[in-house]
Amino acid sequence: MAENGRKYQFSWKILGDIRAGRPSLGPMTRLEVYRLMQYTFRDVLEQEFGAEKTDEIFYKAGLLAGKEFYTNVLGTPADLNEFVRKLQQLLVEMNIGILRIEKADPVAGSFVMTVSEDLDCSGLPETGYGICTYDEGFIAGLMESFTGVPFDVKEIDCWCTGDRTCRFAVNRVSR
Amino acid sequence: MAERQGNGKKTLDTADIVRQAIEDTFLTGRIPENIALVDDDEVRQRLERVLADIIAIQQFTLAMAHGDLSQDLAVKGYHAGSLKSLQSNFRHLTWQAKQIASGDLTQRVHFMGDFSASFNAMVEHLSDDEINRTRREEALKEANAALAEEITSHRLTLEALKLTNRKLNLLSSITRHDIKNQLTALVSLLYLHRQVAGNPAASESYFDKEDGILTTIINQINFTKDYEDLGIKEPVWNSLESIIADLTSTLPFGKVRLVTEIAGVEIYADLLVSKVFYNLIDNALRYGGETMTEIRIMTGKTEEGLVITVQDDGAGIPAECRENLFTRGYGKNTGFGLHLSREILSLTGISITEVSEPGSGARFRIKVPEGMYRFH
Repeated sequence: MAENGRKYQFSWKILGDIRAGRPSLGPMTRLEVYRLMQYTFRDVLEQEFGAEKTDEIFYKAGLLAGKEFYTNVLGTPADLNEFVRKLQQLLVEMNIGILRIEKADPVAGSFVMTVSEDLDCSGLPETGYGICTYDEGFIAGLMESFTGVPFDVKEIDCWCTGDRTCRFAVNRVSR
Repeated sequence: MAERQGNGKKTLDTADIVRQAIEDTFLTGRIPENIALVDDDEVRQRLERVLADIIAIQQFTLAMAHGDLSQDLAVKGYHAGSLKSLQSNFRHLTWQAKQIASGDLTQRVHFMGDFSASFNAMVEHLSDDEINRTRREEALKEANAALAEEITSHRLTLEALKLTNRKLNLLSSITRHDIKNQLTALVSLLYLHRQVAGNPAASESYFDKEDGILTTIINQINFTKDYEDLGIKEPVWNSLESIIADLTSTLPFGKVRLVTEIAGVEIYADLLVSKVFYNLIDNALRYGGETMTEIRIMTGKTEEGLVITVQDDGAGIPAECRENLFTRGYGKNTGFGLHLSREILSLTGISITEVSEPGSGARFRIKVPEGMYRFH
């Protein structure tokens, strides 16, 4: 346990040495396993704290993940083009999703992004509401790390609302 | 189920109306009026929603077919979702095209079948062109730089030649002007000397004067020897203190006091600059008259640079002389004349003007521009 009393404070090291740990099976697993974990977490959290709080927790977890991913994987891109290019490449290489930019207004801090074949929701049954709150936080964490200012991310289209790609409105938080 | 009316025409049941309405809406893009014939409110309302969705999808598709990617489609479901996915791809391609237009040739399209391959090949081709263009630009820049260097070198050579020529002219003027003056004086003395040829005592004083003139001529010829470095040596930093100190040992100050405020001042000027101060002080001593008691050399900084003032409290410069003071060849006795002093100073951008006030002696102002003076 850490000095501050935290048991699970995140650090990239906690992901472990996967190559050493899984010399035969390697770093990949089936998507069902990832979703099984996420949606059972959601189930239990919702029962414990309610749907709204669960979404909030997932957003915050995504935000932390986005920041850590930026720091430990993405490096320090020189400009927006490089940032998008590297992110697209990494998301494909890691089978997370296909990122596309629909609109970008860096001056206004306003973007529209889509993620096709999204890790969290592609192929899920239509529920009538968006489910990618973890993705929302993840994108917000990436954008905040890149720009140095906080962003608000809202999913506006999702597999679960009957679409075939997830669309996110990404806007700089005005101070 | 369809029923027959009394006039023999078949009446439409709800299923027929719904089927017909969907077909008509798909074909015409308009909702048929006969859906009002559906008696069941719930069925009719659901039908209206479905038909409205069909119309919305059609309009969305049509707008996209016309290149309008700004439309939003509120309809959910497989068909609408696929169209929105297509719109998303078009929007992304539009963004990528903008990035490419702004010079980002790293953009690539993935997961769009043959289009990806064609698009990426096009961008790679553009990228290759850009690399080649950059190389050509670099080569051109290098050639331009070499040319600029050559032009600069040529310009410097021209300037050096111009300077050399100007200095040669100056030298020629100095020697001709000075020696001619001395020879004129010598001719006059020789004439007078002949008048007293039989008088050894009187003759002795003439010999002394003639000897003095010849010494001066020799010195002037020696000066031209010094000036052989012309065009070879660059202007140098000259200490005003050293120049004036040398002059005090060569000029006959007599009772005239020399006051200076020039400590630490250095000016960037031609080697002949000492001759300028020699000329100014020599003029003051020659023409200041017996009432003159003091020669002052002062320096002061102004917005335009350093100002060196050389002034005396002697008889001053007659009004009729002031206008031509700097005219070439003008002057009574000196070897240089103020015209030549001005020429020497102008070689490094230094100017000299006469700023005397009536009744208060002679006064000259030497203006040294920024960068041409320093304090050591």
